[in-house]
Parts: sequence; structure tokens; C-alpha cells
Amino acid sequence: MRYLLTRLAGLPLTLVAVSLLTFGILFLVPGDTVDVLAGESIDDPVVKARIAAELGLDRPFLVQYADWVWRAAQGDLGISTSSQRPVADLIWARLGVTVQLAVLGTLISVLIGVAAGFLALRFRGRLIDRLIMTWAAVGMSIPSFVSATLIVLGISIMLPSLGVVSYVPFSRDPLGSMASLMFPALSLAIVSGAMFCRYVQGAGDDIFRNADYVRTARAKGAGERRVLARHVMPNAILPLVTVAGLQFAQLLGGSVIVETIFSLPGAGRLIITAIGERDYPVIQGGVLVITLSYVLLNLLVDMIYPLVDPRIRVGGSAGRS
Amino acid sequence: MNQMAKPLRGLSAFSLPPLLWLGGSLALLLLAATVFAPLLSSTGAYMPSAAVLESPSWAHPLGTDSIGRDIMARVFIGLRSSFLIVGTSAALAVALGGVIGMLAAYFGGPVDWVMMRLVDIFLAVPTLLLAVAVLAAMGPSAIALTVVLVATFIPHASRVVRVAALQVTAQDYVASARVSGIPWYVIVGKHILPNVRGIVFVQMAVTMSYMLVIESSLSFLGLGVPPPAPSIGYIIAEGRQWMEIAPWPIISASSVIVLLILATTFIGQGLDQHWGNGNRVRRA
Repeated sequence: MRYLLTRLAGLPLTLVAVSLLTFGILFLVPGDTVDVLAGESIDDPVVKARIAAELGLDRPFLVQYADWVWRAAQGDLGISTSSQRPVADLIWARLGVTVQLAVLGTLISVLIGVAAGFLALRFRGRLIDRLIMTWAAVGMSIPSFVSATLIVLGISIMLPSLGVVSYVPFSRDPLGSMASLMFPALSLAIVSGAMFCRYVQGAGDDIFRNADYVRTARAKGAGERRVLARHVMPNAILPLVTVAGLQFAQLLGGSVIVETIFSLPGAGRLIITAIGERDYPVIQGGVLVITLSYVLLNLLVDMIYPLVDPRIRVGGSAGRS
Repeated sequence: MNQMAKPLRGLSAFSLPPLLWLGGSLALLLLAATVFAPLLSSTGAYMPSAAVLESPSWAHPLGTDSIGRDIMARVFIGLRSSFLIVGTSAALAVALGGVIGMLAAYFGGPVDWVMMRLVDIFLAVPTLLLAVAVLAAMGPSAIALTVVLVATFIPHASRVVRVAALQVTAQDYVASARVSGIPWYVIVGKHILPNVRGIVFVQMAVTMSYMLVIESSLSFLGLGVPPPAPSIGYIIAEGRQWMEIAPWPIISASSVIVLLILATTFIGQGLDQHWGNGNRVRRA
């Protein structure tokens, strides 16, 4: 309980840091902030002063920041300089794809990871175990832009008739939409599935070696299969609740890469496109929304875990330092 | 604890964990290739030629790109810049993070609390996305990239070193050094630092493997070392346009970066098996 309170107390501090950093992006841009927001270099000082006043840039930094936060809290993230549309609308229209991809990516990763981890534990010390764990070690070392690019390359060489499937909106055809995200999700799952597999195998191996209940089960005459299925796996999978939650948040943040490669109309690609167009309100808004989702998800996962694993509740804050 | 305090000379060639051998030789091989492979190229990494999108041949072992530049030279010079940027950034991040971690552990109390809350904030945000945002604003350059990488990874290093340093700080010899009136910087430098050295080296390798992923991803998005200088990510991004007829740039650049990340991961795990605390030691 104390741990959760500490965790919650840290939230406002994190929110301030995140918003300050996101707002501050604008001031990291080389050159005059008025020029940056106007999208062109303005020479006439009178015009410049007028625009600065219009945009509120003549006020002190902290006032501007407070104003920005106040508007953002009300859902007003400013106006895109390239499309002249409200940033919040642009992001809202694309966030669904990003979330959908992260959900699908996490699901496939968990399936692959648990299945591979189970096989590795079932054939402990044998060739299958070695092969799976080698894949897991290599898989974790593949950046997602590499796995995604190689999948696109593989499709274009082996299944040229397929082409790269274009995204089908979820509202029009839920199943078709999920199918159109299969390859992007798979490119994420190669990496995070490997990580899940290592967690399951690592935890399972530890339980096999050290847990008293495994010894008890064996002493009562349970076969290896029963020990694995009934006693080891349930406990080895438990930590995945946290890991999968954190990974989901990670995939939201990593959406910039995979969405760009598969040309998906998501929030990550919106940010990358905005970088090319020097559309700073969109960059700020996109980064703020995704980062906030990430922070809140992390918090949520930490709060859920004690419900799943009662040992944490007893242990209090011992788990983290 | 005793495991961790094992001195450097414990690293004799015969006691090395196999993973360390594997990772170390792989990294050395790649390092040598970044030095020698570009020299073998007749045209170098920058000179365009009429031989456009050629398949691998004796003149160009990995083929040529869309304006006729030698892919082998570009890939290994790109790998060299990854090595240099990530090596520098990892050393800086672990050094600064290590100092912060040791000071937080040694002084405890409010100093520790403030430092760790700051670390928590950094650990609670999506690394790649914020790096993208900051680099998009600052404009891509090797310096900006290094600054972003160092800032991103100081918190990780400081947290790991702090946990190790806490164990050392609790030892009697630190307490006796304190009551003998030895100044804090001598205690931290002479008593704590040597005992967390193993963790620092492990962290250095682990940080490098994470940084390589981030660095190549950023350069893939066009936020790394600006062209015409080659970088692994940029070679892959550029190669996407022609990949049906010329997949070599993508395949070769992907292979070398994955091998390098794998090598640093193995080195990290190998060092961890050698020095680390027993319960974290696991097979690869």
C-alpha cells in the first residue's frame, strides 16, 4: 500500500516534467520561435511583434507554459501549422490505429512467448530448448525497424502478388482490419515475443530448480508433464501481467517506427510526417498524448499487479528500491 | 557481494564465460571490419559511379546503391559511426549515472530521495519517442544524438549502480572509514567504486546494446548523423525504395547491426555471469 502511495505521489511530478519537456521542444528549435511557428522567416519587426502577440509569444515563458497546459487539459492542443486543423482532432482520428496495433502486437507476442517458453521448459536441456532460447536471444537484439523492413522485403520477394496490405479501418470491417495489421503486429512480436519467452523460460527454470511446491508435487508422484502444466507454468506466466502491460505501453511509444514502415495512418506516423513539415504543434501534441498514455498505463500496471499476485501485497515496497 | 567484488584480474582467458568469448570475439571482428573493410573498397563510401544498383561482385562485395556508391564501405563506415557514438554515449552515461548512483547510496536520506524521484520521472517516459521529439527540434547531428542518448540512459545506470552501492555502503569498513573522519569523496572513490566496478562494466555493455537499437532507429527515421555520412539506419531507410531489385543494402546493414547488438548483449550477460549476483545468472 505504501508503495502504491509513493507511486501515485510521483505522478504529478512526472506530469509536470513531461509537459514541460513537450512544451519546451518549441524552444529547442534553432532560430526565432515566432519564425518557427509562423513557418517562415519574418523580417519586418512590426509584423513580427504582431504575430508574437497573437501567438502569445510575447509573454514570459512560465505564463506561456501554464496557458498551454491549461488549454491542453481542456483538449485544446493548438492548430496544425501545415493543415490549419486542430491538433487534437488530427491525433484523435489516428490514435485508434496506434492502439489497435499495440493491442494486436502485445497479444501475438504473449501467445508466441508463452508457447515458445512452454516448449523450452517441456524439453529442458534438449535441442528444442537450445534452439528456442537462441532465437529468443537473437530476437531480442533485432530493432523493430529491422524486423519490419525485413518482413516487408520478405513479402515483396516471396509473395509479390500480396503487396503490402493497406490498412482497413476497424469500424468498417473489424476482422479485416485486424488481418490488415497482421504483418505489422508480427514484426513487433518477433522482438517482444522473444522477450516474453525469456521471461517465461527464466521464471519456469527458476521454479523447477528452487520451488518447494515442485518438490512436493514430485514427491506426491506427479509426472513431469503435470508438474509443468499445473505447478510451474501458472506461476511462470504470472509476471507476464506486468511485462505485457509495460510492453503494450512500449509499443505505443515505438509506433513511430512500424507505422512509418507499413504506411499505417496512426499517431506515430502523424508525428514523423509533422517532423518533415516542421509542424511543431502536431509534434508537441502527438508526443504529449502518447507519452501521457504511456505514463498512465505504467501506473495502471503497477496498481493491477498486487491484485493478481497477492505476494506483492504482503511484500509491500520490498519489490522495488 | 563477494562475487561482485572479484577483482578485474579474475578475468583470465581460461575463466571467461563462453558468452563473453562469443560476444567479445564477435565485437572485435566487427570492430576490425569497420577499420579495414572501407579500405578494401576501390571507390569509397561517398563517390557516386555509373555502376548503379549492382549485385555483389569482386569490385563491390556487397553491391552498389542507387547512385553507384559502394555498399560495403558505406555499411562499415556506418557501423563505425554507431560504434563511436554509442561507445562515447554509453561511457558518459554510465560514468555520470554511476557517480549519481554512488552519491545517492552513500548520502542516503533527502539526497537519495530527490535523485531517485528524478530518475523515476525519466524511467516513466517512452525513450524513443522523446528522443525523436528532441532531435526533431534540435536538428540532427552527431553531437545532438550523443547528448540525447546520454541524457536518456543516465537514469538507468544510476539506479543499477545505486542498488549495488547501497550494499557496499552498509558494510562495516565503510562505517569505520566514516568514523575515522575520512572525507566522503575518498570513501566513495576508494571503498565504494572498486566494489561496484563489476556492475559498472556489465551496465556499460547492457547500455551499449540498448543504445545501438535507439541510435539505429533514430538514424532510420532520418534523425541520426546527417547524410551524406552513412549510418546503418539511413542505409536501410534509403534501400527500401529499391529493395525488390537490390536487397543487399538492407540485408547487409541489418545483419551487421543485429550482430553488433547481439555481441554487446552477450558481453553484458557474460560479464554478469562472471561478476553478477548469482540469482540473475541465466543461460542465454
